[in-house]
Amino acid sequence: MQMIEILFFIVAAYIILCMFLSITVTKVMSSAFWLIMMLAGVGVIFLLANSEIVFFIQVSVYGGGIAVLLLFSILLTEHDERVFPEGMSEFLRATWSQVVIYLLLLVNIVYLIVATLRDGSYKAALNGELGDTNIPVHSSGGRVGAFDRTLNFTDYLWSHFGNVLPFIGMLFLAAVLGAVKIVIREWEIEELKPEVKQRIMDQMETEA
Amino acid sequence: MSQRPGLPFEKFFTQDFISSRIELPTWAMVALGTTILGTYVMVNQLVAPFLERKVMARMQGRRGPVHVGKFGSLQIPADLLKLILKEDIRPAGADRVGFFMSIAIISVTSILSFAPLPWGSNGLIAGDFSIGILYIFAIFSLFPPAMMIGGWASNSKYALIGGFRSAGQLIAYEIPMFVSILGIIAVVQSYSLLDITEYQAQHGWFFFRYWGFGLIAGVVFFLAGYAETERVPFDIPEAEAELVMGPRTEFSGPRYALIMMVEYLHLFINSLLFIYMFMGGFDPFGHTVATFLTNIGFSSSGVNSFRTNPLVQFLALTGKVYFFVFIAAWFRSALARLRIDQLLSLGWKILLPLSLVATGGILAGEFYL
Repeated sequence: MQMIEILFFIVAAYIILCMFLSITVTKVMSSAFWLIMMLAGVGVIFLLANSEIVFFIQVSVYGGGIAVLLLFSILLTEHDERVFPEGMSEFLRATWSQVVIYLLLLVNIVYLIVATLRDGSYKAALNGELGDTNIPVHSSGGRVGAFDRTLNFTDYLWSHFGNVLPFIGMLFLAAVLGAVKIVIREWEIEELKPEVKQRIMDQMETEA
Repeated sequence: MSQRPGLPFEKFFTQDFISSRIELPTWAMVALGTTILGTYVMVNQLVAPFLERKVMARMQGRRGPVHVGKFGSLQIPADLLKLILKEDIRPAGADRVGFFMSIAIISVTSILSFAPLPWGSNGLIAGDFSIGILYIFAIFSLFPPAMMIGGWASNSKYALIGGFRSAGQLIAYEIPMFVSILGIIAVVQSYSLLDITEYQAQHGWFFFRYWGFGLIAGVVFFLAGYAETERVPFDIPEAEAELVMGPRTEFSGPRYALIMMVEYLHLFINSLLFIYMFMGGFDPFGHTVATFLTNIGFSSSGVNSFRTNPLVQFLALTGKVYFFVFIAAWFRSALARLRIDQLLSLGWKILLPLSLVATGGILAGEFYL
């Protein structure tokens, strides 16, 4: 085991923590903030896996661009406090997809960390080198190294982090579902502005 | 192929000169490397504001700081000490996590963006990523969300509006900044700042090449980078008369000290990027001057050894940075603030088309003519 894999565990635990906070905090902006932190953390995973160009795309597109869009959309609407379901059954019905993905990830990471601690392979890494970050790269002296690295990216991920990779894909799905959950809210008719309320009442009358 | 990104300053520490005298363990390399980088950044943090205040004062017919230390040279450390010792105030109703984390993200990412900058051709580089310049742009893209969260978390109207303006400005100017260097990346066929600098040492600085298209790209890059620092005349997010201090309004004491540090770090990073992309990086003088010196009688090997001397390269780079600190002080004392619509028009309607034209010109000059 190499030190770079221990770093991987630390970043993975950080991502899990950010996911948990993103789902459970009360303010929508705080929730979005933890989502952005999680997306940036996923970028660091790519950097550790030696795929720098994917790191660039992940951080600049998801950590930067999408994050700004998300924040603008939240701040320009009237979402201040999140509306939490009252009972556990209602909560599970509303968020079962995120909960399932979150639990799968959590169990996976905990299993890997416990397995590493039990077989003691981390001790060598702590005393040893950072880790040969060049192993999976077969770049043959070309100047545009980043693209050569990306060609071998999947190969490296599947050989070193094969247990976790499928769940990182699911992470994105959870993020998208979470974003949809943030913006969808059913309004009570009393909460609406008078003219909107009137228009909806008229529509309902016409339909009736 | 070298091991990338490797340890901070690894190539420098494993050179014959050092490794034949002392063999450094991994942890010592990491500690020393980060200390070198941190010291350089911190020392310049104290010198640059002082020089800027002196230059601005001269331009406005004043004397600038004179009381603390010789010629007022200890004014900035005294200000820093005062800010650190002040009470750290958090406004009522402010979001605790967002208020703390936004400053942490902005300051940490600012320091991180120094990693792929080479200080010389002999391995003085903290992280030799193959994506070099892209890494810095990726880190830059984390600033707008952090500014917005900082503005929102302050629980103040001024800060919130300032956060919006800041994010809008940063996004509007990041695009022309990136487009203006696309031509250079295509010519050098590398994202690494080390490769780009070495290419310029052999073929001439990009600022003076391609019949003025290099100059256009350089001016666009410099203006866009300068706008990213949110300083006069691009200080719309702050706009002291309207928004107090924009997204930074509610931050005081040590947090304010961090914000001021980040402001100067941004100025440094953008100046350094401009130097690496257009002004030959750590190369003390260009290809043309070297040829001229050889023609008037200097020995070719002497000129080359001068150009590749680590100390000369380091001093040349720092000198160029301080030239741009001077330019920034000049701008700040000479120009008035733009309106927000003027700012966005400049970014989208002038700089972006110009950067596209410049990129086309550079590509045509390199590959077709």
